[in-house]
Amino acid sequence: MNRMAVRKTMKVLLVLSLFTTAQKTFAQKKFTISGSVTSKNSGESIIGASIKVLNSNFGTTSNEYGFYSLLLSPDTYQVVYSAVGKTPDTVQINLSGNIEKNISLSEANYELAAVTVTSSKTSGRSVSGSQMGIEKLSVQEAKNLPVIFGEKDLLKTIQLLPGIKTAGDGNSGIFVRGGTTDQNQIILDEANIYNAAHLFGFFSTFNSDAIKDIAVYKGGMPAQYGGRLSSVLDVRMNEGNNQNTSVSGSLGLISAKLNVEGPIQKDKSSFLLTGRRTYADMFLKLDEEYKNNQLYFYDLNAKLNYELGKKDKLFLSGYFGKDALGFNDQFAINWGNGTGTLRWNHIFNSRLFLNTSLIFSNYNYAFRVKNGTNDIRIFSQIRDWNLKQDYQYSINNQNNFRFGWSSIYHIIRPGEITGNATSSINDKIQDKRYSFENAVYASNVFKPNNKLTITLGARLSAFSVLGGGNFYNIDGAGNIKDTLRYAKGKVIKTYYNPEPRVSVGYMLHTNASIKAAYTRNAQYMHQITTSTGSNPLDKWASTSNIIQPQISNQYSIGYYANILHNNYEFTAEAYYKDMENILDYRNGADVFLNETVESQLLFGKGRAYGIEFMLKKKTGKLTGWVSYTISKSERKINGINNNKWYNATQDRTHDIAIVGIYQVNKKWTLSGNFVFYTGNAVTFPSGKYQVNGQTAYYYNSRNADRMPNYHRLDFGATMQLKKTKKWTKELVFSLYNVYGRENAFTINFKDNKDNPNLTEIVQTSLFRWVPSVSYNFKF
Amino acid sequence: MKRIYSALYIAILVCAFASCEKKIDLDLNTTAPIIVVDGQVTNSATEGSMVRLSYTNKVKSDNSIVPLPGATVTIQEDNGTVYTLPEVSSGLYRNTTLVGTTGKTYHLKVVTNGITLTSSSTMPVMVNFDSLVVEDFPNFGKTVKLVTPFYNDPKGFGNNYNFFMFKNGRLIKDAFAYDDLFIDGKKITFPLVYSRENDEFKKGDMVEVVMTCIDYANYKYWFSFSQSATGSPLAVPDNPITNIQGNAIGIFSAHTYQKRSVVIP
Repeated sequence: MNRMAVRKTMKVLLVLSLFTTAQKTFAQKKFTISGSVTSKNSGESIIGASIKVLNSNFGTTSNEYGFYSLLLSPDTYQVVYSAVGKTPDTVQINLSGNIEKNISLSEANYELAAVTVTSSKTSGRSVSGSQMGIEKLSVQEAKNLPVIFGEKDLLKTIQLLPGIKTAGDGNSGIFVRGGTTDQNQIILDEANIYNAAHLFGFFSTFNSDAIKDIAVYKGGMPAQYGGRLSSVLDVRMNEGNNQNTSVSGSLGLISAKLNVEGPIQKDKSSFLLTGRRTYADMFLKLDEEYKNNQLYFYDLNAKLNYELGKKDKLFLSGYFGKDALGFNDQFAINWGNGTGTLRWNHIFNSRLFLNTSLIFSNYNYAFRVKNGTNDIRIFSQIRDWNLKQDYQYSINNQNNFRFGWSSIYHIIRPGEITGNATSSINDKIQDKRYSFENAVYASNVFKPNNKLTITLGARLSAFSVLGGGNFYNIDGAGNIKDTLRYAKGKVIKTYYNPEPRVSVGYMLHTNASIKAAYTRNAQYMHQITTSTGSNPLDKWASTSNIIQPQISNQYSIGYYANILHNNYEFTAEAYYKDMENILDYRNGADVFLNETVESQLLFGKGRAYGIEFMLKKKTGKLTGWVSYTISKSERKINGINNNKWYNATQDRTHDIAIVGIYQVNKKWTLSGNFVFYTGNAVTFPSGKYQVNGQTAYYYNSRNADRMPNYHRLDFGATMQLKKTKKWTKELVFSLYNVYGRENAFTINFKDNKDNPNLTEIVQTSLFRWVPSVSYNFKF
Repeated sequence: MKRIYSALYIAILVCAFASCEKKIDLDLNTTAPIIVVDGQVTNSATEGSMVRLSYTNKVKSDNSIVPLPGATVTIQEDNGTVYTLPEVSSGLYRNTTLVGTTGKTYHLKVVTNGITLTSSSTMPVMVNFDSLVVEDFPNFGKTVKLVTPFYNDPKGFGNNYNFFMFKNGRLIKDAFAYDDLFIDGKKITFPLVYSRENDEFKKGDMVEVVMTCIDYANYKYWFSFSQSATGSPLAVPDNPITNIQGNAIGIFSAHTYQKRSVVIP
């Protein structure tokens, strides 16, 4: 079956490449306009800038590195370059040969933005093209919205967009279109971040000062992405200002941040260094009672980029973050991610662009418990080495071809426990798990006319489980049938999955379009969790001889329109997604350092469907949006809920967000947002009994109950302080949960403290009225 | 000054982070009563053997037991003697003459209203409960007293333990079930950490600890019990893995019984 799948995919790829060569042969004599789009102030390349030929349907967008290429017949053209938050620029070009045109766009100041109707002030969904299921957010757009603790966090702001749901109050974890948190691929400058959470998810690992923008693919993932079922969160770091050295920073309630960037050689190379550290613990130290406790996290983002010549550019970026939590000597835990990305952009010619990346990613945690004579340490780690190449080839003005490959070597240290000499523990080092994840892909964007765009793509992924250590055969009840021993490096099993990606967009008229897409995704790395929030100790397991790759098929259709003189944008997308080989824990699973995690798992399937609506006001003094999602997400797992379908925990029927930003004057910007969503699906007891003197609860059906509905209103205000030529300063105020709604975080059933013969139901809620102020500066 | 500032800061943090608890009321589904078996055979002449039969109750009712009277309860030792457990009070079936022996398997049979429930459990080797000591432990800025049972796990996997702790004669409602996956052949010195502030030991408290050696099915039951049946929201709620066959929940256990006590100094 696998071999057939491979053959099929190869066929598709072959047809694709034939198709493109055919196009090439018939192409008439044409020339290219190519180059890069950058920001005038900082020299940063602009992702997704629009390059449009006025009064025609020719146009393109800049790629992840700001590079673009446009193939046209010889003529004179008016080309409009525009981007989010930038003043558009129109350039006249006489095309009689290949032309290189590098454009730098200046910042749009607000008076201009208010009147410039043609430049969309916000990015994201687009009427044109065939890409759907995407949400984009730049730091620029998010900066005025209210946030908890005054800590700007893109992962929290995107939760206000349809189809992206928060994992919990104040949490940076997200559920996308009914999927789980581990089904989101979170990449920072292409490096996989295995745990994007600080402090149990209350902050994300992304320091917004270091981030350029974030794109979330909820569906219709382009073929260059793969490895997770539900979404891709592509986070791009700033490159560093190659014009002027600048220092910026902020002081907030929770943390301080500092960012230094500047040119190494003007116009050619630059550096960026951004740090953030929380300082709650510094104050704790001042207090006798709390002084031995530890509670902090820090992040460090660094980037260097260097132009090697006209055709080559090198980037080196890195991230390092760490959390530490400890109570006296009795308990300490720390965890963190570290990533490194070395990228090389090479322009072969005005039509062929190559990016080669070598990526390293590491996540580990260490846990220490001390009581009496026991001093026990636990360690776990996951580490990736990834090499990949991505070619972008502009065949003609109707076809854009993209192809490439990726190879990832995964090393997991599932769990290591060691004790001191007097402890009651035997040291135990679990076998390392090695695997090799490979993929090849190709896709072509075909625009036969100014109405239709067809993107045909395919990805073939292959995952090899490699030896070293013991593997097991397991019976239906989870008992080990036999143990198999493999030598290191031996291929135990290889899974192949063809992943077709097809999307079509059709312009109904100049301001409205419909799109449809089909996407298949395979996921080979799995994280199984029992809690809804982020737990740093949650285990990642790779696909093995027993754990099958998760597979999803997503079908989506959408309608997109710019209405009311382009001031508003209305979009609606509907999706249906089925998922295979979904994992869950067996009842009474004991996964803590369990050698055969497979024996504790159950497998099944899932389905999720819904409709997402969004109405956005893009221009004027008041901007913002209303988003509404109605959806369903269900699971069917053998061994759970009598093998019948049940609600996934993250199944939330209604999800509403209303966001408004009002620019009062040059000095003040006000903002507000309101969210409402149906409570998570949970299991409440339907009976109770006594066994051996203890109160036990009886559960009838999984996730048949609901947490109370969640709603919250936040306000924010930004005050621009006196601007001088060198200094910009602002104060940002936020009030989270304005009306102090006690949203349920957990609901607990327990014996009453004073009368243990009675049961009480106790709701715990977290954040009520969280005010914050932070001071931002830049010089 | 520093002190005031830090106090202010902590106050802000506590405001923001301090979880706020309140009692609420919920509409809950109620299932038809289900039979609960809670049975044991011990090697102690004073404890003997008993089976308590009851029904599940509504969550919002009090914790008193809804007894199941009038059942026929028997326990067979290996393939030998069948002991009958007469009903000594409503729903409680007891036979003090049935004292278990390690290595033997006990077969429970309950017949009630035409329903038959069965289970079996093997009494494992008894591991000696060496001593019970009181120790001081730091706990979030203060010191609390805990008790630690000392014992030596025999070499070779497969020993399972369950502890019950009583303070001044009242059971502390926490489950302490261990297997020997990480502790095989070691001297065990893990304190029994209770979860409720109310249970905190004070000077003069009499603490009794019962150590039972249990079979693997019992370990799975108590482990899954502590994970998912105690009403805590931290794990996915589910019913503990029962070893009762038939339409019932609960546990039947043949275990060794040792008790030690200590007065908190």
